[in-house]
Amino acid sequence: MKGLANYTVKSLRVNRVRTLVTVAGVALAAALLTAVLTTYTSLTDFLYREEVAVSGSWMAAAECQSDQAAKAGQERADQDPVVTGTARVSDVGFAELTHAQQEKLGNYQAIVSAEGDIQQMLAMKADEGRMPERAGEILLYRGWQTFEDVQLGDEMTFSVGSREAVVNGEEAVEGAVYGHRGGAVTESEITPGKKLDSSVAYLGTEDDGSGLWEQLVDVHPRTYTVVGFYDRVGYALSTGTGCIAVTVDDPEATGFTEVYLTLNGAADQGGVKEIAEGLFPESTVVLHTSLLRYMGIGGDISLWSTFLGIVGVLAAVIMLACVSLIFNAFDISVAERIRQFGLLSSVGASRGQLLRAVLLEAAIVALIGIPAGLIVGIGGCAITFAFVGPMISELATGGIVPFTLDVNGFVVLLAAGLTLITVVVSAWIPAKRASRTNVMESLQLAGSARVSSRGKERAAQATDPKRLWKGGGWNGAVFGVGGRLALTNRKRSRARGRAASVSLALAIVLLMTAGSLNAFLGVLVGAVAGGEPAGEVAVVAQFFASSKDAASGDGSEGDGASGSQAKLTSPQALREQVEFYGKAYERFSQVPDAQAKGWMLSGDEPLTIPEAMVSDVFRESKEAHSEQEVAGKVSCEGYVCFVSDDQFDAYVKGLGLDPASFHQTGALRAVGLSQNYGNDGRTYRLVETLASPGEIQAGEVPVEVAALADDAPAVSGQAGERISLFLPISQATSFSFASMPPVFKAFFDPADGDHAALTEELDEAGDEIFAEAPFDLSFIAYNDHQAQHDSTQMLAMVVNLFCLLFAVILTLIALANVFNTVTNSLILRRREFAVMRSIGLSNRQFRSMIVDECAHFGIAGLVPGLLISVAVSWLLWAMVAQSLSGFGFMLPWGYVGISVLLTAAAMTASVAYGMRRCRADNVVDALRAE
Amino acid sequence: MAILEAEHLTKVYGSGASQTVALDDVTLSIEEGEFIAVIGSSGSGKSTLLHILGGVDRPTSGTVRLNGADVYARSDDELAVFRRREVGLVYQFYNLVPVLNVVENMTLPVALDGRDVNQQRLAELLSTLGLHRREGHLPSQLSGGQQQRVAIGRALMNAPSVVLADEPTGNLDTKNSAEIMQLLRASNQRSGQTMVVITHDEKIALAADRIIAVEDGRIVRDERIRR
Repeated sequence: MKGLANYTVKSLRVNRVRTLVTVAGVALAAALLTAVLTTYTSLTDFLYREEVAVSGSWMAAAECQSDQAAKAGQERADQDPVVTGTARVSDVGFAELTHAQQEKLGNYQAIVSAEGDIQQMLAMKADEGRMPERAGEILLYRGWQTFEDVQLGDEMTFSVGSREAVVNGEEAVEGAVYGHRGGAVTESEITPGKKLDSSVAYLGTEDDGSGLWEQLVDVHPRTYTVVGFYDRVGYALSTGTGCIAVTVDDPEATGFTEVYLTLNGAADQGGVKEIAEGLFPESTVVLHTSLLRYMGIGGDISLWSTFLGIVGVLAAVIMLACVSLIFNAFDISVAERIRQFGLLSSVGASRGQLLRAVLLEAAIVALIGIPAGLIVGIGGCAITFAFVGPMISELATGGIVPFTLDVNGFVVLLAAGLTLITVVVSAWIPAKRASRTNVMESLQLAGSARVSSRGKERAAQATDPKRLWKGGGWNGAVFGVGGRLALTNRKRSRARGRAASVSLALAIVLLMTAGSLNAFLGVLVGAVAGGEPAGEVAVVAQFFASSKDAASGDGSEGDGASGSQAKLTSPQALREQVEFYGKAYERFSQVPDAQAKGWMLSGDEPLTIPEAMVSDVFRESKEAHSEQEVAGKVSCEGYVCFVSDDQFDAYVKGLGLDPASFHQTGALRAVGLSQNYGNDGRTYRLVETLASPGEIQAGEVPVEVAALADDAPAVSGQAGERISLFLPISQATSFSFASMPPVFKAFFDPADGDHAALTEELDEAGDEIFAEAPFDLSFIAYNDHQAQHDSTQMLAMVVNLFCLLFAVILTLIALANVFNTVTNSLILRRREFAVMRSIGLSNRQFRSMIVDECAHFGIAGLVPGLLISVAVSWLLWAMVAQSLSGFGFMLPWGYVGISVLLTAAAMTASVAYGMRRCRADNVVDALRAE
Repeated sequence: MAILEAEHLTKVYGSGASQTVALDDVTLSIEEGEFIAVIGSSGSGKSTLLHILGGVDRPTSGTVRLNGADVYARSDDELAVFRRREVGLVYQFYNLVPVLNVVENMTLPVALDGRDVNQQRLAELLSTLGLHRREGHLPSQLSGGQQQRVAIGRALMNAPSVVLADEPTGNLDTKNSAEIMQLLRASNQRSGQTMVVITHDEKIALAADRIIAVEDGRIVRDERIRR
């Protein structure tokens, strides 16, 4: 082997250019694989750190009904080597809040007593001040400072009691869904007098028709010193009644307790749950699924499956591309030296030695290329993240958690290993060919290895002198004898042109992969981000549901006491709101630099719809339910939106409808959406909602859905998977919202483009406008949509940047491969061309022959290339569609065109270069060449 | 009458320090119907001379005339036509097109000329060259001697004025060598074709009408052996 090792090294040195090209191909493979995998691990690491920063590092939580049970379980957990950390949060009680406080801070102020490393495990941190360290100290939500002017060091006395269920009648209400806590939903049987803990949502203080409400009992004063405020509300900091206040070592913390755990050694989420349930057999166990997913412990959210799927497809495509590039390089190298291998065999080299000689070449190339590629891949990621990392961090965490490069040793080894496999696979067939060299065939100069057995049969039959050089079909007709020679080459040669066809096909596949990725990820980003806002700045406001100034529908005045306050949902109150908001819009429109874009009033409304009007998909979805079990009808919560008349009229005109028909007095006519984008927490879906027009009931009001549309008016935006109805604002006076006053939204664009300044100006104008409001304002917000849109655009830009980088590198691989293959396939036939030129083949005939050959293997590459591209494109779509259902497969035709054009251009350039090299050859030298 | 004339032929390869003078002011006149053997050691310039005479390689300076016409006054395309019709080239290593069978290789110059194959001529050549049972064979299916016959057939197919053979027996055994030379001689005598053959074989050289010895790019001996 030593002798052949020298030969191998010398071969690599002599063919320096090809060796460098091959090393570059290997380095490119390693770099790309490293980049893709490192991006994945960096993203996972970032998401993990972000989740820890927001919600803590806890992995499982056990809900215990008593502090005693919790302590017992926690003792078991502390002794279990699998458990690496515990924290405990126990209910102390619930403090009464005034009506005004409830609107801003929640229905009660839940007070809990916490123990353990709650800062790390539960992301409970003091953003101002400090964490409580002893009994009597308390950490509050920042809202207390903002809305109630509470300061550090203040002594606060809360009226703290226990929540108790009140059930109408003696029977228990079974199966009531009563908790929403960071996404976890729990069900239980609620019996009269049952104590309600912090995981239970607020049931209200009066019967709203459900037969279930609550009251606070055993109310007594508790005094605490405020030592800190927190800003961010993570999982453990929110309850069913609002944000919590945290104290420590509280003597009244004897009730409902949650114990949080961190573990090691669990392979999947089932394993985590099993461990937690083993330690807390009597408790409900909740998993921190998002964190577990980022830790690589199972996952069920489709968006993550999408990314993993895309990474898998990309890795496969990269390997395929690089296999082709490296295979061609080795194949050409062996083909050029086939005589040398024949000579080596003739002097005694065994098949194994010849095989190992080529594989040694591959190993040397890999030894140089892989480390170089790893460095380039990691370096490339580092540079890219230096630019896009701050953007991603800003988008996802407001800049709190930095997006950094995470170089994972396993990933580096995996990339190196995959690249090595790529190199070995690429070199294997050429190595086998070299080892199987027939000595005599390789030493003969007739190029015998190039003719197939079928070719020999065809040659044997082509002996009729009358038919010699006749025919050739359109090849002969268009290209003359050059075309006939090309046709003969194609029909008789073993693999001539196949390598070029394969490289062309692969080029198209690579380019289409890059293009499809860009197209589909763009749709996904767009769906996640939502549609374009109606205006760059929005004013959003809503009055309180009840107001001492409101007149009830029957004309009586409210007296200001809770429970007897008149609601703003009466028709009269709605009329007043419409009038006020209309005038407010006019006044906002007069703000300098504000270009009015429209306004709307919208709210949720219970709808009763004939079954025939809704789609099957919607009827079976969770949005539809039959509360009243009215036969043939579907009940659901719908979205009713009154749009400013000018915007509405333009909208219906765009649908080909007559606006006047929607302004008839006394008859409410609406346009309904036939489809809507929604997100069920797993998948972004385009859901069909309404199937046909018809008469429906919106609360107590009959509404005719006169027409259906695919898209909402620009001013409205998306409303999730609900039935959505649009009417002109002038008709709002004939309507009433059943439960809550409508939300007002007005949209403006800055005439000078400065949306931040316009936001401030509207804010200032709003103070004056809403000071004259007839009712109490629940909230008012001035949203700089353009800033949010810019963030979304930034996300899209990040995605596009990655896609572009990927596309550029794939394009380079593809085109280099085409160039390499096509030019070498010509250059390897220099001698053959020289023979023909020496006996009189003219330049024109030579050109015709080559053009004919290249056109044919171009088409031979184009057709399978396009077919495989469609398959790869479909695979990528399937990955994306896991997170975006309702998104039908569509081939990105633009990229098809670009792929074909680029590949054709590369081939043309390659052929031109190859022909120039061949023509520039001195015939004599070419005839002598070995 | 001189059919082929070369005047002050010079061929220089490379430049500067690596410059090589392959032919140095060679002047030569070949009569129609002559059978000329060109001898010389390896690197003497004999192959270069042959290729220039055959219109395959342009000289650095000097002229070549065939039937009085300046060969290198032609364009590249005209030279290609010249090579098809007016000269026939035979090489040491046969240089057949691997995907074409015997008859296709032989008739390739005719096809390149866009003319119909003269079937009678083809049949005669196949018979004369002993290839009449191997019409459909590819070069890889032929022995060395058979391949060289095909190459000769290709050279003779268009009945060119001059046949130039560069060591046509260099790759063959004695028996095949003798047969090939016999074929060339027969063609020369029967058709009056002018033959210029490069050879290392003394026996072949002595069988020629005239021997030209080339050394260091110059003709050092030009001897008529028989008339």
